[in-house]
Amino acid sequence: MNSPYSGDGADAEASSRPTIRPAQRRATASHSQPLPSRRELRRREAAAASATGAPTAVYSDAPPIQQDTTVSHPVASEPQPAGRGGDGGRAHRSRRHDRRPVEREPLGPVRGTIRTFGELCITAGLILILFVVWQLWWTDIAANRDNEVLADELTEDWSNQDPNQLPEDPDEPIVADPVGRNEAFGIFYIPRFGDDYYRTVAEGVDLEPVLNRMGLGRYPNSAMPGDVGNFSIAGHRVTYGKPLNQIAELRPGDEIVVQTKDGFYTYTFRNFDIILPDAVEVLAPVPDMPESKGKDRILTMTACNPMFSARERYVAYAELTDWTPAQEGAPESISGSKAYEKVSKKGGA
Amino acid sequence: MSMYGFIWRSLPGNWFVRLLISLILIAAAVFLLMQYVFPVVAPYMPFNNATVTDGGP
Repeated sequence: MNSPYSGDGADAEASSRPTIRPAQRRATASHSQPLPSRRELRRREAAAASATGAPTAVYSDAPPIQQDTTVSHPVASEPQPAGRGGDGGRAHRSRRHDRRPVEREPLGPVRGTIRTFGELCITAGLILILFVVWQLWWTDIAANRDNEVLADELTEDWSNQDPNQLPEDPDEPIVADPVGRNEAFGIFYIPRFGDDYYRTVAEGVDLEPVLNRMGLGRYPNSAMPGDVGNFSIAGHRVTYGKPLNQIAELRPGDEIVVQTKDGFYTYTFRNFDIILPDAVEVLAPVPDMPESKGKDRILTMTACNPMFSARERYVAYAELTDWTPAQEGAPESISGSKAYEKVSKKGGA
Repeated sequence: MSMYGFIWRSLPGNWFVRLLISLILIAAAVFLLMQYVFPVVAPYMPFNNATVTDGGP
């Protein structure tokens, strides 16, 4: 496509939009007859407009420039083909019936700079609004979709694997096998968060990809589900699917079921704490007592507190109270839930 | 010369084609921002931290 300012492009331009060359027009007109004053032009404009019932005032950045000089000054001749001049005049007259403003002169450097600056400010504002929309709305949609896909993949994997040998002592839970970094290994069900709540849990607590796209993340070096010690996980409380959005709604006695390849670990919520972001001692085998060895099977969940802030962390502690091998099916607390139905319909662990 | 005015005048075709091209350009800009720019910026926002750490990221 040619530039609209050269060759054939200019002709196409003229038919859609009158081309103005003010300097040239003034020069050719002044040879024969002085150009009408600006006030005179406005008066004519108003008269013509009122004749057709259009609004009288014409506001523009630039002084209005009379297009059809050929009509008001028949003597003034344009150095261009006659047909084209006539077209321009007709186009202009019909345009006036459309109540379009008079064509503007290009802005000067100062006005142009100011206008560009203003446009950049508006653009920056729009980008900020778009960022908020993306963060508060789109990341949830994307993360929820990822969660469903990942849970389906996980249960399908499990159905293709043989579960571990059951331990001798039926009360002794199987300890889940460690997995590689950024690999999913379990599904959380928390009935308190909703009948349809389930979130995958993966190894590691990096924002990308674990916390932003895989749901919950296990602190490396913490215990695996079923292990003696502290099985510690982190999750977003807002944005990215907000897996721990309702962490503050947990009440003592609420069950948190973790499904893995081997079975279902039921942790029971005990208490919560609000701590500073650097209080890593909550991840110790006995939370807050880094020196102690511990003999309990603890689950610790951390999320930001208050919401939309990184000032503190909300910690929820739970303790393993029940365990069901995969062969025996889901425990009663989740077996009838929408979440379990949805997860199990694909692979069926 | 304003920025958007310049872009508008640089686009080929009549006003309808220009409008179409502008909408496509806007959609492309939104997609690039959401897909590549925002994920890079987001970790610097104050509300995305859920982990307890000893000084690390």
